[in-house]
Amino acid sequence: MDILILAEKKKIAEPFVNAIISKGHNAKYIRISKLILVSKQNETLIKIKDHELQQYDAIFLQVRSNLAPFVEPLLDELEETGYYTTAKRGSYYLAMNEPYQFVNLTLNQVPTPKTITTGSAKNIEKISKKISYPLISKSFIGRNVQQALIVKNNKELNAFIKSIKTEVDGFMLRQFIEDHIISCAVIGKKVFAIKRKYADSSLEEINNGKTYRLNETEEKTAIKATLASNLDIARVDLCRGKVVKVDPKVDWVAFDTISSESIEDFVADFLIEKAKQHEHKIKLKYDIFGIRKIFKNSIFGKVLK
Amino acid sequence: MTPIKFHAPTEIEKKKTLLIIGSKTYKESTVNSLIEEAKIKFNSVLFVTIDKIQIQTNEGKIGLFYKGKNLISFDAIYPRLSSRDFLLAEPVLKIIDSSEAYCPVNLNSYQITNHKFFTAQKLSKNGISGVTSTLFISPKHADSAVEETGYPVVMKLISGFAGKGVVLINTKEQMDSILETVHLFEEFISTQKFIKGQNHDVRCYVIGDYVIAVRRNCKKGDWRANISRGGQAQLINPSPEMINIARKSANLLKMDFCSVDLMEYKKKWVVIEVNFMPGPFKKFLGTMIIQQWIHYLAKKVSEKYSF
Repeated sequence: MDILILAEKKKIAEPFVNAIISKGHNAKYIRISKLILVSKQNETLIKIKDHELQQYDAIFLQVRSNLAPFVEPLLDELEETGYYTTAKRGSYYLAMNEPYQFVNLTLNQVPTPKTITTGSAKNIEKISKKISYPLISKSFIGRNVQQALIVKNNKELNAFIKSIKTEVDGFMLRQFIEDHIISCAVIGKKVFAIKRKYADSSLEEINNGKTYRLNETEEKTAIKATLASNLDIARVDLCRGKVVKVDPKVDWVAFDTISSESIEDFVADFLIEKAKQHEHKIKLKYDIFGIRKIFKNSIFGKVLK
Repeated sequence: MTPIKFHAPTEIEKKKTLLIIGSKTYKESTVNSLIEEAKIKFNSVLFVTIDKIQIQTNEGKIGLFYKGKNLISFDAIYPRLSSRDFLLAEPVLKIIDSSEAYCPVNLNSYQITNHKFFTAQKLSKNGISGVTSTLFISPKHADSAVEETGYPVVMKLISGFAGKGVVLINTKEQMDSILETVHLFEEFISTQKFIKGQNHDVRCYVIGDYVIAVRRNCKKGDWRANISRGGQAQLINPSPEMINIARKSANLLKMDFCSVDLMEYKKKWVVIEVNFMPGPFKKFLGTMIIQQWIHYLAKKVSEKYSF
């Protein structure tokens, strides 16, 4: 199997490349910023400098959600061509826009805390009455969070609004559940979890968390949130059984350090399995009777390339 | 061109409700005309800007509210949103998509049409002629991208709108200097082959199956044919080729309302852009386009009720 890891940095991709190679398959890392998408008559090319992206059986994408404007057309092309990708079309738009993500999760019957989003601060105090304090108040510029604060009463909420000196595009008020956070790394149907304590108004860093055994409902919720977000691999944060975050990028180092199991191996096995399922689905360009695929790994492979 | 004749509102239409969701940067004269026309065909018309809407999610329940009113209860919803509304437009359109209200546009079409490269990619892949375009993250690879188009090239920022995020670049030196600034703002860069123009393009308004074509002339000294930049517009008879391209583009993006901007290149019409929220060119066309939009919305609602 040929598996591609698309990431922003080599150190993120390397452990997965090594794990896949150690299992007897081919794996390659490409820095996503090296890719150029070219839309021509009737086709889209994915270029890396001066040559086209070669054929892979599976692609593992690990990049930040704010690259969505580049990633979404890329995913569209990869899916249309028949590639297996760990992130599907639409997943990055969802991850980039928190209010959109919460609406999508709710529509997919994934439990989330009570949330209200609005574009104007005008009636924010009135709106806050629909959610009891304490609540998380966030302001946004574009789709990015500008400021986020836990507020305990009207006075603190008004102070938060007054502290915003720039023009913002919206506000989000969300029920704040004062409890520990369970950060999950979801890989298909396998879920690794880390418990992070919440104490003295601050949440423990993920690196300082402890391994946590999820109950059946929590595990189902994490997997459901991942799938509802058009992802096969994701980080899902839970708080008292409710989803508070879904991200296509996982902090693998933290999960690997805290967990006693080798997460790279699970990811590698998952990718190899998916690659096997999708091996013959790629619509090769200029491939007559599948000749290109047959010769790809032979001595003629390089000539064809 | 034969304009559609509007019939007097039927009894069913008189009972119908319409919600118009405006962009934060809505144009007052367009909205006033929309409301005025809509009031003839609909029993109840509400206009609300997107920033005034409350999006509520709780325990599997979801709602769009304005002053306590559930906005999903309207028969038809016409969102007129721009790329500046992304934060709220995506969740609002997602909720509308999942509702029973008739809406002439959808979330997917909003995401694609507000991304110039994505539009070109979608159309070209489906056999609709466009202009060679590129999309890249790192300015380091601008040279490889320009290899595909050559200079001069039109550079568009993904968040650009109304021609203001568009730059014509003639040389590598110009490109390098612009990319330095763009990268500072972490913008995504899309380039498009520059078509040496006849100083005009054609905007095709698609309203269901109906296509209205308008020739737009550039303002003297400008290479862009945007009316908002001082260009001129006049109605023309669309050729079968124009009608076909415009309808095909709208169908592909599943839009009942949009405008498709065309330019002539190598004796063929190619798509430059598809607009989610086209202006109605009131200065040149009066309320003609607005009347067509409202007529179509009312027709769709009547069809819904006739079953």
